[in-house]
Amino acid sequence: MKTEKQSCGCGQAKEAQKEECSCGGPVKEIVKFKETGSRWMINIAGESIPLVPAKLTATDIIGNFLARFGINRMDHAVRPGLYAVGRPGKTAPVLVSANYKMSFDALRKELSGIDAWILVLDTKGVNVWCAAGKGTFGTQELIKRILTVKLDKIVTHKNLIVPQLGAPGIETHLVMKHSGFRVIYGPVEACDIEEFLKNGMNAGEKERTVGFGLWKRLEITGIEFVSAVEIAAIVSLIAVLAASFTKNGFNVISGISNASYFIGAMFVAVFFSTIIPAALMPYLPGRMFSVKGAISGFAGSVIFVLLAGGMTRLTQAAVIVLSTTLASFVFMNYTGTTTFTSLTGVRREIEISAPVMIMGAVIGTGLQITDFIMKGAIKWN
Amino acid sequence: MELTYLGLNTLEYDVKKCAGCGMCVTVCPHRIFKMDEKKAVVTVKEKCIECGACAKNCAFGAIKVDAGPGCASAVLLSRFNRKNKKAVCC
Repeated sequence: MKTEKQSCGCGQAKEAQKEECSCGGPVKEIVKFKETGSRWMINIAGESIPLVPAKLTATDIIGNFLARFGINRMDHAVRPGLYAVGRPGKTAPVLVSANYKMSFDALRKELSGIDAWILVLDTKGVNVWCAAGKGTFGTQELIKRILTVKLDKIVTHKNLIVPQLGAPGIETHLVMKHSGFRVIYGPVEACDIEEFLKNGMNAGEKERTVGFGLWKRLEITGIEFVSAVEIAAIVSLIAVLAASFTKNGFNVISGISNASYFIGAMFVAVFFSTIIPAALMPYLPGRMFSVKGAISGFAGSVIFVLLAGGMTRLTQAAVIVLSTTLASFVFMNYTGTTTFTSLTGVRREIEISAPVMIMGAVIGTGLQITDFIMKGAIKWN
Repeated sequence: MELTYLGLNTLEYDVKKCAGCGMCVTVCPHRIFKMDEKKAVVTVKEKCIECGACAKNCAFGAIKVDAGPGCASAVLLSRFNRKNKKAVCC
């Protein structure tokens, strides 16, 4: 490669010195790979290739489900290399995948009744789209993996089917030049593979377009939800501590009671900053995610204020301002999981929204502290 | 339902360098390229998400784009976390 790529991000590779991205831990080598459920080996051209079923087990499904909520997500990887599905021979198609277990499983479960090879690249346990952005699902790794598994001995043809979403990492012409294999881009979704193969390796416009339907939007809120709960829990804890310094000394019980509205509001904000705006995204006004999040958070906190009742005007104001700000911030971070945001656009959105959010946070915190003082929670004289 | 963002991106396309191979048309996840008289043309530039697939797969250097993830936490973390160069997402 000409430029040294910084290993990074949700989406794409950044060249060194530019801002690198983040949404999780640093890239790490995975030592322990997940079992792929292969019990048999296929012997071909002197190589032993593990045969994997085209059906997922309960363990696979549970593991994938937990990973959606961030549990063991960074270790959810399969060993890179070549796998067989069905009874592939020398002319069977070769499908390229990432070694994130969810990507690998999504592919193989669509292959029942199909004889194929799966070439799993070492993407450090990251899915195809994100790894293509980082460059780990990339030209170099693909060429290296073709050589490592001796693909030219196993199949007689020279075609590789690479998922279309891997294209940001692959230089087709260089793969051809250095390995002799021709990259053919398959459909965006694994479920369209069967149709693609039937149609002589052709995908229609629909199968080549990235969608972002309701189910997809909700599927990926898991991680956002868990991190929003974490933020809300920390903020609530701080509020309880602050509200525990009463006139009669430190008292956690009265701290909890004084901060109860605040805690309730925080968890309302969690829902109205993740699941609700993700589901309603196309219908919420505004193009910026921070605006959509703010509207959702505002609506949620107003509902909370009306239903909870018994709050002073000051508490109500604090709850609404803080929830709106929090929801705005949390939902702005949803940009990274969507399929239609650009980096240039996100930079602009941050430029516009960040000052407003900081203002919201300062005003909201001010209102909340004043409220605690008025309630006599905080000893201030 | 068509989802649109702010319509801002760094996509640059030089039609003079286009050899008409059609790779950009194939790889674009938002279908913004189409073939017109043996040359690729950009249809809806606003929909570009700067994934970089077209530029990377253009053997003729006709497409330039400053590729990167449209991810707010990535942008924010990189601003606050200059020391940790290895900070990553997903």
